[in-house]
Amino acid sequence: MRKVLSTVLSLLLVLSLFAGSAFAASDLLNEPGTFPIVKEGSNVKLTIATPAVATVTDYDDNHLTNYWREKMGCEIEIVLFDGSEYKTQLQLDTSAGTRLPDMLLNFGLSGTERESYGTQGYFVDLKPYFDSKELTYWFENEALGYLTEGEKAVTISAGLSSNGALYAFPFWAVSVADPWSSGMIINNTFLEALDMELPKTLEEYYNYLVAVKTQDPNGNGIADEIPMSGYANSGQACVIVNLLNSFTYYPNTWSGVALCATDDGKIYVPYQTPEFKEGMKFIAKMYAEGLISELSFSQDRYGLQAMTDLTGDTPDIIGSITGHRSMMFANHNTAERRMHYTSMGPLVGPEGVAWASSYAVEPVYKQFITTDCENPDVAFALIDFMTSTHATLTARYGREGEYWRYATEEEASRGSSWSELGYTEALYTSSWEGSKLAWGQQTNEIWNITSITWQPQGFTAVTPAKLESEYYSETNKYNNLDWNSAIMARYGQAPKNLVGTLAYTPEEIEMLGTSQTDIGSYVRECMTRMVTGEMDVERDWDTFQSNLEAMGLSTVLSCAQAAWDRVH
Amino acid sequence: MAKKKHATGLMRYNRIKPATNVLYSAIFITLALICFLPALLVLMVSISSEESVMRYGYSFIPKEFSMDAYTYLIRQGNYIGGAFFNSLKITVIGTLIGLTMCSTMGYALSRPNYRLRGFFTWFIFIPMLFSGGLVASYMINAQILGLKNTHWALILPICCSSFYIVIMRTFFQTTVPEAIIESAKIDGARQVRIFTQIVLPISLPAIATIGLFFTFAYWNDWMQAKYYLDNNVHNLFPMQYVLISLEKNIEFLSRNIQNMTAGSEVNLPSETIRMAMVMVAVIPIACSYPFFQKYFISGLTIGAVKG
Amino acid sequence: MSKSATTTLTANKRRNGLWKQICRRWQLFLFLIIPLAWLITFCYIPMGGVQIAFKNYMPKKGILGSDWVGWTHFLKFFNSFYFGRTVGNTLRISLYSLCCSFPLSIIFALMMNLIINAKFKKVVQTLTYMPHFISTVVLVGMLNQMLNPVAGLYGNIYRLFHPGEYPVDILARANSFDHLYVWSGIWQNLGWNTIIYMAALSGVDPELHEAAQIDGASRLKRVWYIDLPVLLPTASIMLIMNSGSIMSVGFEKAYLMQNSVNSVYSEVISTYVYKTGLGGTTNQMSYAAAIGLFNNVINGILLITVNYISKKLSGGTNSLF
Repeated sequence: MRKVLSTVLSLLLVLSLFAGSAFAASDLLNEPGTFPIVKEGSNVKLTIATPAVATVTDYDDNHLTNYWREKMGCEIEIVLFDGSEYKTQLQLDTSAGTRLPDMLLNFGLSGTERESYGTQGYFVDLKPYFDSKELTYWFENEALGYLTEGEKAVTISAGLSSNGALYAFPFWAVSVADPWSSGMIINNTFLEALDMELPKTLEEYYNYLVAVKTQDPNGNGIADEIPMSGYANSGQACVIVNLLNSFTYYPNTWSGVALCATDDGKIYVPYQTPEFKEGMKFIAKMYAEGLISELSFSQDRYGLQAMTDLTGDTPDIIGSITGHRSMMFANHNTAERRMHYTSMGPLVGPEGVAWASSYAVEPVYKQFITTDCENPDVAFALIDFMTSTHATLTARYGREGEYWRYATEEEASRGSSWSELGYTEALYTSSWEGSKLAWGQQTNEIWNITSITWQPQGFTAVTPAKLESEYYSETNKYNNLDWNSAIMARYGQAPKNLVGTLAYTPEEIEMLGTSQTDIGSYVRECMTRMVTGEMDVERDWDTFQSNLEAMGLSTVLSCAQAAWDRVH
Repeated sequence: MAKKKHATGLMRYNRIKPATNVLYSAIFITLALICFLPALLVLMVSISSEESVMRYGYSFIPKEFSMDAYTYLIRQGNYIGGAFFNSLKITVIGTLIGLTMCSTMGYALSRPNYRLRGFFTWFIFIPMLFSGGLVASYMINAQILGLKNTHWALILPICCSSFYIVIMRTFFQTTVPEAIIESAKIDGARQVRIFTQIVLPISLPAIATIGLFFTFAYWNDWMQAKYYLDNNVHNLFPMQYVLISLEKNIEFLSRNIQNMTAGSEVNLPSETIRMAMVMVAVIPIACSYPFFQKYFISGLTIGAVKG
Repeated sequence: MSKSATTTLTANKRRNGLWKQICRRWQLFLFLIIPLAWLITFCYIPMGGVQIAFKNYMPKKGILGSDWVGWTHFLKFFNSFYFGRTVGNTLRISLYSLCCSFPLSIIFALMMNLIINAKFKKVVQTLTYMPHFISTVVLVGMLNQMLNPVAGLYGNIYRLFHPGEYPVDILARANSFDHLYVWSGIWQNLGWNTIIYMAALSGVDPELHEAAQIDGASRLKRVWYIDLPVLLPTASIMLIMNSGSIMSVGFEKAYLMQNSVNSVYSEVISTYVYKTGLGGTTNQMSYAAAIGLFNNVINGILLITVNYISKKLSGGTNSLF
């Protein structure tokens, strides 16, 4: 079996070498950087498959599709897959031996799935294209320019399969704010009523919660205040994850194994450390004292919203929430109580630890060229073109001039909205004159997906900073200021090394088995039970650890370490 | 005529004391309300504005009346009308085929003591336990039978069911008196005639029950469409599939909004749409229910045949 | 005459008998042909796909060409920490649900059959089957809304009596999961489940009631001696069939109702398989097929056992085969 595999692998490597040398001779394409990209009269047609987004009315006569046709100078046909079951459909199509479309766009395959399909020979290895740099014109000349050195380093490497092949084209689609968007939010009217300052340390925060519980800050004479709550089944809104970061770094996840890495690249999991134990004890104490609502572990986001999004004479009831601030209100710009809540930065713990729960920012690998494609060079040229600024803005906002435009000199001189973080260039504006294409509305302008746009942190930062007069209401302004200050406070407050997706070899995958799933669920469950008192942190610690071991935690750690070392 | 006589007949036998009757009615009214009120709530939420639902939770009296969810549905699925007729067509054809298959098979199995009966019973029983899985079925249906992108792919793979055959068999065994069939045989009637002219009329409640099950299964099915219809063939989509994919997309988009736009949240009427979808999907099937119901509210059967 | 000759003769005789019978009752066999052809095409031929459970399925190699891995996928599941828990939870929830909903739907059908006013009967029936059409997502959403101790109906009612206080959060109580799961299911399906029994009850011969009444039997007695026996064959078959799906607790509802507090009780086989799929480190097609096969085998054993018991109890009449 292994022998067969290695033969297949080496065969593929040889083949990919051939592919690498073959495209240089491509006589279908015009000089890089000129339009149309495909030479006239070459009569090329690309079929593109994508999972259907129901709000896009017509993919075939879509503005973005037409824009690509015009720039490419070739025929483009769209094949739609089911929006949620496209993976199963791909599996069925490959099983049935159906000819695959030339390109798959926005196919969210996991690293393992990419490698599986890739090594079976369904996808073209794109690594040679990036090595030779002959067809990566827009990628090299425009796209890379928005990346930091750190981002440049992982763009290709984070997507490599364990055999060194790159089966998908990397795209960045992460806003500066995304990784730093969750944390604690506090009720400033309560702070005022209690005559307290905005807490900076966990201790101050604790005292505030006690005061909320005991001193009736909403002044209605009954103790109906809930000191603190989050909601269930989400890392962002998990009270435990957010509070733990004052003791030990815990990534913003509620589903995985929560792998972390020390500064010198050693993989570990937080729930084996003494800091974690201390943190859990503290949080369990808070829960026992009634400072954390039990609803944090059972309600959904709408339950939380029902506590914050109040109107009229109803007094505020909640002292503090954890999570993403967009979960608090049905509509942020019209919510009556929006200005009652202040987003906070990380809280300093008893040992001086103050991390912001975050995650590793990585490119997405969702665009594939299949081996059924007759002209992979043309397909590659199209994806390369998508990384260009103009194509990105067209794919994200719609046509130039109507939905977005480049910033004026005056706007550029104002700097960008994230200038404090070092992103100063202002490039474009999308929200002028209110003619913004609403995300999620029915549209025939764009495809309503971000994975085909090159929007790294530096790129989403290049909208001009807003002028005072551009806010259309007090709430709207407060919204923006509160958001910005919270991001500023949290930005970068995470360890140097964050563990993202790791590429495992088939042997490692075999060894891992269901361990990761088991550990993920078990840790989640035990953390909750330790807080609610069903488990005692001290007494049940050894059982907790030995169960983790029984599930294969040491295997998970050693495999992760190996995978990490291969890339770093 | 026979029907009427029979109904009054039954009523006579069912007579109970007035006090018991009141208590009895009270129980049923309570039960009916417990079932009905949440359904009413679904309707009410579907005609509320999304913002008021988010803010005040579900409420029997809409705080802010709004038809946004329905207009959104109509606007989004501009092929929803066509999808409705597709569903109707699939449901009617599928139910007819399904009924024919299940009733004939069930009848054949209900006949006592002939060779192979045991074998056939096992033969229909095994598929209840083991299925080859999606990939194998897909290869048969799509590749060998070539059903892909046809309505037959939505009808044929689910037009028969071991479960229903067994239920039919049980019905035939218990409600069709052997004596009637025997006497018909003596009169020289062939099996086909016995089945269509004697057995079927007696078994209308059973037919109606299984018919209702089929109708419901076909109307609600979207899995088949998901696998066997390409997304480009909008004109073939059944309604449930259109609704489900819309719902999944709204889920996805509203989840993505948080990651997308830092400054401005766009609000989709997701809660109310979900409710509106329930209403849209249910109304047609709820309308067809009384049609089936009249056959299994105890009534005709034996009396009808004898009368 | 040699022994082998005798067997050939009897075999011939049997074959002749079969052929004769087919000729004599050809119309009956005609009824069987189309459904049998359907079963072969849509059930038996694809059944070859079961072997995926014993292979590492690769689309390129196909069902037949993929490499055999024997019991690997089964062992992966059996050795998993969650094997005992998921199987236990699945069985517990299933049995609880079956033990409550099965007798309740029979009782409900019998009660409904007693309603005198035909119109009232129709209305009750129509209203009680309504919840069946509410989708699982909406059902779970409504449960969350109503049981919320702060903003929900439950909390509001509680505060009428205890102003300023919040009741215990039922959804954050792990052991309430079973009850919520089962009773919301009963609420949703009770009316729908009675349909089949109502149909069976409509076959009661009115003459029986007449005769019994003349003999002075009370209404209750007649339910017991006339209605119930008519229901029994259908009920037995339903019970047998239901016991054949005990291992298949649906994925969607358990998954939607799951949180980290109740996962000790709510992790069932289907939700676990789903999660391992998300983990992406198993050959999901094969792994899911293996667990599916395991479920089916257990289901089959249960079904055959219940069928056997039912056959024994009823003296051979109420059984599948």
